Amino acid sequence: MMTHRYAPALFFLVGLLALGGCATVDLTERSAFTARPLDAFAPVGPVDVEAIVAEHPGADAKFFLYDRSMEHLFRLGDDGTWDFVDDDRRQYVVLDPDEERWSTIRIHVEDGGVLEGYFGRVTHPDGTVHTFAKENLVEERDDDGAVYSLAYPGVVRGSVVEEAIRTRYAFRRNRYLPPLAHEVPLQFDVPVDTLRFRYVYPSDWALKVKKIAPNRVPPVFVDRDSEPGKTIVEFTGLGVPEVPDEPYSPFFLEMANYFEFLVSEINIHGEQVFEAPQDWPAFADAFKRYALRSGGFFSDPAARAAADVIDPSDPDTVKLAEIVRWVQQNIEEDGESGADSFADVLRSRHGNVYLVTGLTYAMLDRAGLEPDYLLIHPASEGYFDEQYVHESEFGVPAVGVTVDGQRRVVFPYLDRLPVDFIPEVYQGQRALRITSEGFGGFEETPTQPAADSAVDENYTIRVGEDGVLAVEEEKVLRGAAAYFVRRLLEDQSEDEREESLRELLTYSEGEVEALTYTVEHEADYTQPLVIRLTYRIGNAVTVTPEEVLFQTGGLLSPASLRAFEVDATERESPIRIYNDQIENKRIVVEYPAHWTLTTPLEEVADENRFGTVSGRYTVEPGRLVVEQQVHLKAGRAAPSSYASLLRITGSQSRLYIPTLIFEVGS
Amino acid sequence: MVGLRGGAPALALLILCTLAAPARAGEPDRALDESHHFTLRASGGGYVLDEEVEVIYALLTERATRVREYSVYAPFFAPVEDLRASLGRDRLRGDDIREAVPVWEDVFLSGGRYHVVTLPRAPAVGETLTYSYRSRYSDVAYAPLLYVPAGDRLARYEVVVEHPDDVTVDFGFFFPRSPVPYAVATPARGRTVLTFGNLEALADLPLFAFNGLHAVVQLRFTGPGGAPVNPVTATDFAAWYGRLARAGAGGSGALAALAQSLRRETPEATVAALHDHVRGTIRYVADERGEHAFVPRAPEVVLQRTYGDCKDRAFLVAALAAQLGLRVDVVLVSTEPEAAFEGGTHVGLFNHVINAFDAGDGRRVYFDPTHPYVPYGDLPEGDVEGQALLLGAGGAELLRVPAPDGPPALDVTVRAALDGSEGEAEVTLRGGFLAAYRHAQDKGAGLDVENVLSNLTSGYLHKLRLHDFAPAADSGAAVTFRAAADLSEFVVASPTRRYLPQTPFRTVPAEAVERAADAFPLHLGERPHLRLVLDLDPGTWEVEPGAFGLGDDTGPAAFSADLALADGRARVTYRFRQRRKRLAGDARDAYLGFARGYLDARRNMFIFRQPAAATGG
Repeated sequence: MMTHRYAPALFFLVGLLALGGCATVDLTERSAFTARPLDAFAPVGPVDVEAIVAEHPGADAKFFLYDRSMEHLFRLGDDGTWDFVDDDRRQYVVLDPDEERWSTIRIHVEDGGVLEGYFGRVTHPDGTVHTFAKENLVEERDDDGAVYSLAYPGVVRGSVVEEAIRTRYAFRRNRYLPPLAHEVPLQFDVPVDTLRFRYVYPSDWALKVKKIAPNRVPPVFVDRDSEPGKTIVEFTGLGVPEVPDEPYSPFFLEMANYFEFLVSEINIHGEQVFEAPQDWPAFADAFKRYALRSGGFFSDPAARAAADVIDPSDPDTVKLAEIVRWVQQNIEEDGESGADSFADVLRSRHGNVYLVTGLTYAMLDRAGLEPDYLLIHPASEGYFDEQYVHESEFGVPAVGVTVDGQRRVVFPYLDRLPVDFIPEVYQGQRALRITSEGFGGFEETPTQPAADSAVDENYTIRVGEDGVLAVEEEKVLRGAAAYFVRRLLEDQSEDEREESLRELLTYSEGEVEALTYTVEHEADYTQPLVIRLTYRIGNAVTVTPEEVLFQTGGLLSPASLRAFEVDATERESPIRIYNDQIENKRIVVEYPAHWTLTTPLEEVADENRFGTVSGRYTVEPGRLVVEQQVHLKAGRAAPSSYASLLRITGSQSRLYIPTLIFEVGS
Repeated sequence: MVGLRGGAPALALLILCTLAAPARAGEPDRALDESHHFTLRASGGGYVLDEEVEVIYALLTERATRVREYSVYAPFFAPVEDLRASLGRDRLRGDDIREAVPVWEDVFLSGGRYHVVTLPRAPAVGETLTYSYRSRYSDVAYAPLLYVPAGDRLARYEVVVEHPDDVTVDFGFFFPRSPVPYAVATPARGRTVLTFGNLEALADLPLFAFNGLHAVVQLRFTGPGGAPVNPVTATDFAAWYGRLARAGAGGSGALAALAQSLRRETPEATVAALHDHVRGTIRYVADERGEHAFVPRAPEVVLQRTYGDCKDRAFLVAALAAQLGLRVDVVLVSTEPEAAFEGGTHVGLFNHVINAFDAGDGRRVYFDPTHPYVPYGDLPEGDVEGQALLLGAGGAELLRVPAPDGPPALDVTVRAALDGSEGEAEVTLRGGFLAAYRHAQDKGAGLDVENVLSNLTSGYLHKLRLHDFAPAADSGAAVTFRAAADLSEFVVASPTRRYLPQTPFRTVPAEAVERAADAFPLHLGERPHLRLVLDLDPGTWEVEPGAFGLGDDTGPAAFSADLALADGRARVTYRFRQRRKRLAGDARDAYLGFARGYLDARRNMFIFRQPAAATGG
């Protein structure tokens, strides 16, 4: 189930202290919440399915009850046992029986765990009731554990399903440590009438709870009296609404309710055997011991590797680029790697993201660049609570280096990511700095100008007298776009590459002929990736004696065109745009000089809090120049502003020109 | 983070998803040497079949070395044992070889297992990966189809069969492109060897169903006196399958009572009611453990559970009909193009089960009680033209599932003024369009349904956007909406003319014309059948009547566009009908000619002119 960085220390400490002594309270006795009968459900009253559907259109189900209890049964100081029990109960009405999630059950029990019990009861609208027990589940085992499955018979719209599942995982010395940190969702994609979560643990343990917004933690009730020697932390939610899935929304953990907490202290007979890092300096020290461990007894493998890669006379920018590129190209990121030091990583050429980052840090350090190991808190992890000291707050490793006065943040485990590019989702985020001395404070990762990741597209379209189009496309990709296309192309054969590049063609409505392409700076990812395509289109232009029609087929439309009907008044989620986005397009249409463009082209220039959209047109004899730009700005806004956002992103873009008409002169 | 989050951050995971397996084109990345060694033994009045497989990949390029996982799938009837693997001289051990329960999108419980070989280190170019394993088949009838791969350079593909002297071994071949050389030898009594060798990797083709394959081989064992050891002919196969299917069949009062409750005035109405009942009340959950991968569960069990997979449903319909004295046949179908063997069939060729009913007037009606949204008498597109085996009263019949005949699946009539940008539309959906709507109606809400309808229609209608759909009529087999039609892009307006496209449908894939250079079959995903009528008030514009057409009623596809003036209105009627989607030989050539003509005609326009007086002409 879980292992973590502090596990060895904890295993060691509890090993030392598991030396007899008597507990005054038998903590192997379960609380009521993990000992109660599995079939203990309050009856569900009459269910008005149509009313529920009307209230929650589109929902597949509705929980009447979601009730989960976790309990630590801790006797390491006595009989050496420590069980973790998870008791999960649900009572819901099925609104869409074809959704397998609601009409079946599948229980994953990882290797070392036990399914203690299961109870299922399905009550159909006609009053018939089916009950199920563990014996009814189909058990499938493989190397990862066991899966228990059952498809409930007879489920129809309006069937009420009640299910209780209880699993138990036992402490195994040096192999399994029960979880001591949790992130428990308190809101789902379906509504819940009553949601209860309990965490039951020995009263001489201590817990820390993460704030999920400034000055806000889920309101919990702490009960130290009901169960002798145990503390029960309980959350109750009533009428919990579903979380909508809408574009331009904040991340789930920024919107939804959840309960994140950790065990910060464990005592055995009054003696502390485990203490989670109490502050970030302590955390940084522990992390440093893990991620910056050399592994060389008599030598410095990172120094040797750095010396092989760089020329000491090179400027720092070159050293940085060379070392990062060497790691990206020679060390494979592998979360399952058994490597636990730089030496291992260098020897096996594999390592997890933390060790690969640590190796890079060490090589940069040996090259004299004074790097910092950074752990970034991405927005997807929700609110950053500085008081909640846990690794989950800083999930993304990187190395920070200041070169020529400029702060650079590099990601050495992301192959082919340009050394000067920070992925948008990691820009402007809080980061924990770890130096060779340990904790180095916090910093905010740099934000980069939107122009650094802008996509520029330049087209020249020559329309012949015969109506055949000769098109030259140039796409200049930067930032994430360049990175993804490079990764896409890197393992492709010539045929596959052509197929991929055809997908990038702007012309979207049919057959292109004589396609040729070049890709520039594919290996030099310090430069923008430039893709040039040339092709002919034989069927886009209608030539009559009097007029010529050019059906543009996407050539004169912005790529961000959205084709969905959107009702701004139904918007529920707040609006969140994390980074500026810029798309530039310049199109030159060249045509015979005796043709006259008669299509009226209306310039577009709109600006609001979400950005700008513009389209400018210059007509000269035999030549039309179109310049378009969409600039979406980072920011937050209330749901009611969605109509303004649509003016920039468009449900139908005002920049789209479906047809150009030319009058044919003599 | 470490441990807790189990590895790379989200961005890295996203990137890893883009990594591809070695390509099937250009310079080969790997050379493959694969051998299948079968041993067929007489045992207890029957036969036992064992197999030993050895696969050797020579990794020729950097790209090949980046593939770190290889998997072996073990179906329930042939569990994999003693899987060994080595990279170069290094034997793989422990967690390098793991067994996993497969997770399928549409199978809830499966009896198969995946065995995954993970390379513990990055191999070097030139290194060799070898893995081998053994399997014992639970029934010789499951003797596998052997797929001779074309994704790598094939150094050797060898099939060795050790067999009793009185058993004859023969091979059936399917070559998706052109026959490739092979050799069959009998080096000793009781030993037959088939060998392919030195075949280059083949580049993928668009609209081709058998990319990555040189051949498919069927093992055919014949015992003393010509008795089949494994079922190969349709008759033998049907007999074998029928025995399996009958083993779980039975009858009960519940079945009879339900059947009686669904009896209607005519046999066909009754069968339609059975179909509607099963598709509406039996939800799709596939429990395919053991032989239930192929064999249906007893109808009573399906009825009691109210869930099942396609074969459970089809056999339930047949059983219900039988309770009323009606014969409804079961039809095994391949919904994807599969190998076809002269005079032979195989359980691996079918992935779906539907029904057929002889209506008594010469009509045989095929229907699919698995699809929840397709009414009786119609079929989901995937079933049509599929290779099929009908298990009828008169014996087994190999066939292709015929396409149901009917009016256009998308039928749109727009009334508008030529100079107006909006019109009123009447939109009728049938077939796949209707099924998509029913699905959206069932699953979605509010704008979801509107978006589905809008995108569905604009996916086929070029530059004509329909929106604000309001239901007007629903006959069960068709649903009609009133909608607004946005003609602003469809009608091209110049100061002196109005133009309407002559080919308004997006129905011909541009890559079809790339296939002109070869002669292999063409597999199109669907058979569009559409009609669009524009009923226009031309105002003062002068109409130039005209017509354009391609193909005819006898060919694989036909298109017509016709502009006529009647009662002061301009009426433009477009029709597109594709009759077949799996095309070979002359039909393929005819379709390619049609496709070229249709794509070229994209620039053809109907023209409305300003009156002569106004233009001075």
